[in-house]
Amino acid sequence: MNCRQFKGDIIEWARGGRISADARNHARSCRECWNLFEEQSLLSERERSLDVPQAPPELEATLLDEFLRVRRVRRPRAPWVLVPLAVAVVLLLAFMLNKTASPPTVRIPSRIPTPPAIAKMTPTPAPPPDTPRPVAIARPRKPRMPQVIEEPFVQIPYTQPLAPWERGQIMRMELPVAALIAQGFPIATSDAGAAARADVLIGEDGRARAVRLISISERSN
Amino acid sequence: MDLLRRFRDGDRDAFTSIYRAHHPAVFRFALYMTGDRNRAADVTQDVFVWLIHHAESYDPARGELGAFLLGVTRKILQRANSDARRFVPFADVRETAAPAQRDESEADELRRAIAALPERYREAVVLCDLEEKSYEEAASLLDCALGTVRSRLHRARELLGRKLKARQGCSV
Repeated sequence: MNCRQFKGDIIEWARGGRISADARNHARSCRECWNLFEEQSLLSERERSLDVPQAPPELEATLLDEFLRVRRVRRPRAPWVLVPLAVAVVLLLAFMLNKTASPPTVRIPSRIPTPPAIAKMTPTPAPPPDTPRPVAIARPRKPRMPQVIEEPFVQIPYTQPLAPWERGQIMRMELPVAALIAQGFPIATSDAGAAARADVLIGEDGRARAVRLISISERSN
Repeated sequence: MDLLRRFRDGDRDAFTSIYRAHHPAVFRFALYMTGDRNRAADVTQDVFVWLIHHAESYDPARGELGAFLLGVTRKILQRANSDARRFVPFADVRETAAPAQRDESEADELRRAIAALPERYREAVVLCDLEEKSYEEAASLLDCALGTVRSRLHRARELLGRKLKARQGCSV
């Protein structure tokens, strides 16, 4: 073994590795290689004697705080937080069901006095009164006998009347009585917050042209 | 695996267990690499804060958590070094200009010598000698060939041996 080969192995030897008999014999015969070996052995010894440093103890508390902060941000809401939300949803659903179930209805007089400024118009696109009319809003209710309504359509003030060639659509909907009064319809009710069921004649442009009142539902409270 | 899953689910005890198991190695590595206890503490904190915020980044199939955390430590150190290279604080200038203290212990002397090594040699010494990692583990951590780790370690030890010998000669 020569010095170059020995130097390739010397560090492994100094780190506690095995060494061949040839290398050992070379170290004994070569002063320079022996010194190198002693130097590396001393280094290994010093490295082993290094005390194990400890991290500052307060670091753990700091990191735990950060961990808890991040967990609070990421954590989904606890079930007990959702309870009031669920109660609110149930109450809202109950209120809506109660409202749509069977509201007390008030029959409106058989004929609504037409305001003088509003001209009566003939409901051209509407089907004949003796046939059931198509109703746009289908509701899952008990099938009822088609109700014949003899009330005429009343033109909504300040709107263009439906032209003879124009096609229209009748939609049954609930309208706030207050809005109808604001439009000039003379509706006699003590409850301004009530809703009126009405057939609304809608032109091709999507605008309401005329209204036919059916009934007024007063608020249940 | 269970500990990791609990940690990801936000279990405080699981995080404490992980921290207690892995922070000594992270802190030691940071301390040997920086040679500064305060900086090592900061780096250790950065590593675990990163882990808290990126709990899903660790894939157990790719290796042990300890090795993964040492890799994160190394990246944070590299970034800190590249940031620090832009500034030369007055303290460092004074430190390099002042003569080495005679009464420092052998351990301090060795730590100082290690901290003064070029980064790639320092990493090899810290991982292979001080952290007693195998060449394979160190190569995986440093993302280089096994032979590269070995040659870097040899070169680093030569430099350290020479430096310590010179100091010994001065002190006699």
